[in-house]
This record gives sequence, C-alpha cells and structure tokens, in this order.
Amino acid sequence: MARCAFCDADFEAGPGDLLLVCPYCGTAQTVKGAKFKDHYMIRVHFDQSEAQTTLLDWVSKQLGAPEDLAARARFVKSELVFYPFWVSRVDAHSRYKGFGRDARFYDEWPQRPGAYKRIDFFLKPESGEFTRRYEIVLPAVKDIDEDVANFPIPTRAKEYFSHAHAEEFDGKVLHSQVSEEQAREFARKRAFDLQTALIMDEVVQVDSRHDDIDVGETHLIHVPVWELTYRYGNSKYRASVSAATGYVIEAKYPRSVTFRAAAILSGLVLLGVGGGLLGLAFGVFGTTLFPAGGVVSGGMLSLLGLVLLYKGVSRKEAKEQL
Amino acid sequence: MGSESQVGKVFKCPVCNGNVKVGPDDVVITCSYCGSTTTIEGKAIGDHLMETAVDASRREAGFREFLDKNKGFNKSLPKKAEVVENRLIYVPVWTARVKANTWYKGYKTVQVPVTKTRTVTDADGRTRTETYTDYETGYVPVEDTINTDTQESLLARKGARFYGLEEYLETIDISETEPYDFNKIKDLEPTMLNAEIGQEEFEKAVHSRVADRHRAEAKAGLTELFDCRTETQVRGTTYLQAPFSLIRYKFQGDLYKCAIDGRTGRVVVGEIPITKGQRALWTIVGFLGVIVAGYGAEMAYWALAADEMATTALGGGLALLGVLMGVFGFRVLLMTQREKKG
Repeated sequence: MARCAFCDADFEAGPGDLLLVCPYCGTAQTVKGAKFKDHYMIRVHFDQSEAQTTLLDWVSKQLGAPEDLAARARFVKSELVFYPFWVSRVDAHSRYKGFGRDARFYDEWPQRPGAYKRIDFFLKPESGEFTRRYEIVLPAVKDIDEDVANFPIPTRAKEYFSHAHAEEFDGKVLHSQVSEEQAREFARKRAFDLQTALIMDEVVQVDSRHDDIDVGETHLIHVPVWELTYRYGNSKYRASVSAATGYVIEAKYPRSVTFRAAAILSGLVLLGVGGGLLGLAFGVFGTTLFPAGGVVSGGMLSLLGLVLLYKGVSRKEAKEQL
Repeated sequence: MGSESQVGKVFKCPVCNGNVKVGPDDVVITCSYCGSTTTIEGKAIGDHLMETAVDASRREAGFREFLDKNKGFNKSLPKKAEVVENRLIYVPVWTARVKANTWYKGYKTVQVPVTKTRTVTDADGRTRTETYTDYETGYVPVEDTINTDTQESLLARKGARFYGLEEYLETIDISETEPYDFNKIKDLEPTMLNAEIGQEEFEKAVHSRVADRHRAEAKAGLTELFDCRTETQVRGTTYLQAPFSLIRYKFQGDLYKCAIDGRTGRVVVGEIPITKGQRALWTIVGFLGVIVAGYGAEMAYWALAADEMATTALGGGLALLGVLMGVFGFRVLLMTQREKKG
C-alpha cells in the first residue's frame, strides 16, 4: 500500500514500483512523495467497442479463422491498460583515437593491370568524432509483453497526463518500476553503446576515447493498450490492440475445425505422395523410378505437406505489420 | 494540484490570437483556426510549402481504381469494398537539397585468368602436356569518390508510424508543391500535425542519413572498406506540409488498409484480399509446378547422362520454372493478404 502525498488517499502499489500514479488524483510521484512533472500520455482514440470491432474484423481475415468468428466471439474481458515508458533525449558526442585497417599491395598481375597478387594488411592510426542525438525508450514495467514493449509509441497525440481521460475509459494506469535515475542511467548506457558501434565501424582497435553524453529531457509516458480476451467455442483468446491507433499489436485466434481437418488431411496425403515419390527415387521399394524428378517433385510435395500439417495443428498468433 | 488541472500546453497564435492546443514536443505550430504556421517562439519559419489535396470522394475514387487494377479474378472487389475510414492528415516534412561528397578507400577482389600447363596421360598410356586456363585471386586497391546532390525529405515527427507513410514520403516531389495557403485546404478538414523536429535537428539528421547511404554504396562494391569520409552541405531547407491519407476498408467482413497520396488521391501501398477462388487457382498452379519441376528434373538427369547438353539445359530450365510456380502458387494458398504498390 502507498499513500498519496497530494490527496492523502491510500492506494495499491507493489514492492517493485518506484514511480507511482495515484489512482484518485492522478499525480505522478516518487515513493518518497516528490511530485514528478514530466508525465505524459497518449490519448485513447479507439474506445472499447471500436477496439473490439477492429480486432474481430482484422483477425477474421487470418488464415483458417472461422467464418462466423466476428458474429460468435464473445468478449469476456476488456481492460484498458496504460503502460508506462521512459523516453530520454540523449545528446552524445564522442571523440576517439585508435587503429583502423589498411593494406599494401604487391606484384601486379601483368594480364590484369590494377590487380595485385599479394595483399598485406596493417593497422594505421585513425581518429574522428561522432555527434548524435538519440531518443531512448525504456518500458517501465518488467511484466510486459514483448510485442507491446516493442510496439512504436505513437507520439502523434502526446499530451500531458490527464487523470480524467484515463478514468473516462476506466483505464488502469500502471506504476513505473523504474525510477527516473535508473531510466537516465539506462539511456546513458544505451547511447554509449550506440556510439561504440559507430566507432567500431571505423576502427578495429580503440586507443582512447572521450565521451560527452548528456541525458536531457527524460519523461514518463503512459501508452493505452486494450487488453482483450474473447471466447469462441470452448476456448479463450487474448489480444492487445493499440487504443491510440487501432492497430492490432498481437492477437491469438482460433482456427476452424474444418480448416484444421482439411489442412491435416491434405498435409498427410501430400506427405504420403511426396514420401512415396522420394522412396521411389532412392530405390527404397526395391526399384528405382524417376531418380531426379522424384526427388524434386517428392521434395516439394513433402514440404507443402509439412507446412499444412503445421498450420493445421498449431495454435495461432498474428501481428499487424506497420 | 494534480495532473488533472494541467490542460496541456496552449500556444497563442501570433496572427489570429487563437489559443491552439499543442503537444509537449511541438516546435513548429500550425494554428488550428487560421492555419498560420510559426515556430513555438512565434517566429515565422523560412520557406514554407504545401501540396494541395483532393477531397474524400476523389481519394475514394483513386482507392477503387487501385482495387480494380489489383482485383485479379475477384471481380466484385472494387464495388463491394466498404470504406470505414478515410482521413486526411497533413504531415510535417522538412526537405532540403543535400550536396554530399564522399571519399573512400578499400579493396576488392577479382578473378585473374592464368594460363597453366599440366601433364595428362591418354588411354594408350602416353603422357603429354597441355595448357589450360585457371583463375587466381587478384587484389584491387580502390580509392574513389561519390558525389551526389539530392532532395532529401524527412518526417518532422518523432517516432510517428503510419502504415505506408515511409513509402509515401519517398514519392514527394518538391516541384509539385506550392506556397502554403491554408484557405485552399481548410474545407477538406485535414488533421494538421505539428513538427516535433526543428530545422537544426533535421539538418543534422539528414547529414547522417546521406553519409550512411554513401557508406553503404561504397561498401557494396568492395571486399573491405578501410576509410570513408562524407562532407555534406545542406541548403534550401523548406518546411513542407504534405497530405497523407489512410483508408481502412472492409471486404467480406474483413478489415484491410491502404495508404493514399493526398495530393493525387492515388494509392501508395495497400492490402488486397485473397478470395477462396484465387487460393484454389493458385494452388492448381502450384501443383502444375510440381509436375513441371519433376518432369524437367527427370529430363535433365537422363540428358546429362547421355551428354546432351541442350536437353539438359532445357530440363534444368523447366525444373526451375516448376519450382518457382510451386513456390508462388503455394505461397498464395497460405498468405493472409497481398500487398501491392500503387
């Protein structure tokens, strides 16, 4: 439990939560009660029913999805979750000295002027500098789906955090398990690594380097995602839909029994025919027939059979490509 | 107190005095009332251009034309597609001429023909020497320059991603623009996005982009790149407001999307449904491919044994054709949808 330093309300917070958002007054604060100002949000542009419709319409075009999916799916859980992310702007300037590869060439080929028989590599001193600006994004909760974490934050409608807006959709605003200092430290390290990659593109060995890494404005942004669960038949399926853009971040979906049966059956038949041809080609049945054609055709049919079998058996998940 | 009382940043338009709601990172603002565009400090921005846009019905017409062109055997697609979203968004773009000079150094390898002799023994046990051509590696030092002068456009938003937006930005043609005039586009009720990336940051970013491209180009022809230096000159930086539109449509209950160039109403890139009939047809193509490939391979195999080179080549060609038919045919069977460029 935690107590809001601003409205005195008690609210729930886990032991790992380092930056809290009071569910009553919406104030972002550290565990010690200091107010955090750079707190933003992305607004919801797809309400619950729009998100559900978009999901079903999108998912029903997936391979093998039942035709009556949109009509028969029932939503058992629809929760709007505001996921916290830290975004830091980092200005990095690096100067480096080191050694880069170069080569000398010996013995020109007489029949091919300009080309040499021998090459001799050596290292030569090299120096340079890089100035870059980075935007480093860090998901602020550990228990976050990888696809949600990697989904690009739509900065389109970034606004100051509004508690009223989150409440309007009954959104659950997650606390940040990363403190501002930790986020800044992470951004610094990440920028340093990116600078290192740039330098190592130029030289193979670094002698000395000087980095001036300035972690600038660091803000917390809450991004709304609809976490939906729907029932179709006897199973439940989960999906995440971006509440700002309506993109399906990821969705599990059922495959119809007809599709599964057809895929497994034709997969087995193709595998049988393909295997038979391969067998004939390699003389497994005593005689050798179509030694080359059997391998090619049999191989193609077997491969397709395997793919169909996999499609028929696997449980499926789909993601919308941006 | 509390975030609730924060109503977001408000910017006072220096031209019409209107209160414009802006995002925290916005650096160039287009007034939502009068359309005048200034920096966040209220200063005029330099060159400011726009592209005019066509209205929703023209965009939809362009969209249906695209469907018609890509319908394949699915004759009902252009008529039965039901548009559920057709928004016009003006995206902020920085554009400039970038002159870049790159010097680079590295090496590549070539195959050098070398005449050699060898001793062979014929069927009667006699030995003789013969000459033949062998290939050995030659190392070629390369030192060269790449000089370009290109128009570079960059979206002035951080991390904004829309379907097809990158493809759209590549199609922007500066010669099709005109001086910015909000009155010409106001009736289309566009969403005007403000810039989050300022001019200075754009000029830095565009340098990196061109330098990276030159490096990749230099690297492509070489075995190893030792050194690569790029100097750029950015000139004529212009703020351009470019119309982009996303159409979402439903076909047989399923949802698809299409990115539209708002100036012409033509599709940049879009998703096309695949019907059952099309899947069946392509599957037949796939199975024909299996037969053709097998027949070709068999033909090549026996012809090779008989040393008939022409027939071997024909058989090999048929086998390859068959495999390709198989790959494309079966791919359509298993694809969710097609993606087509406009």
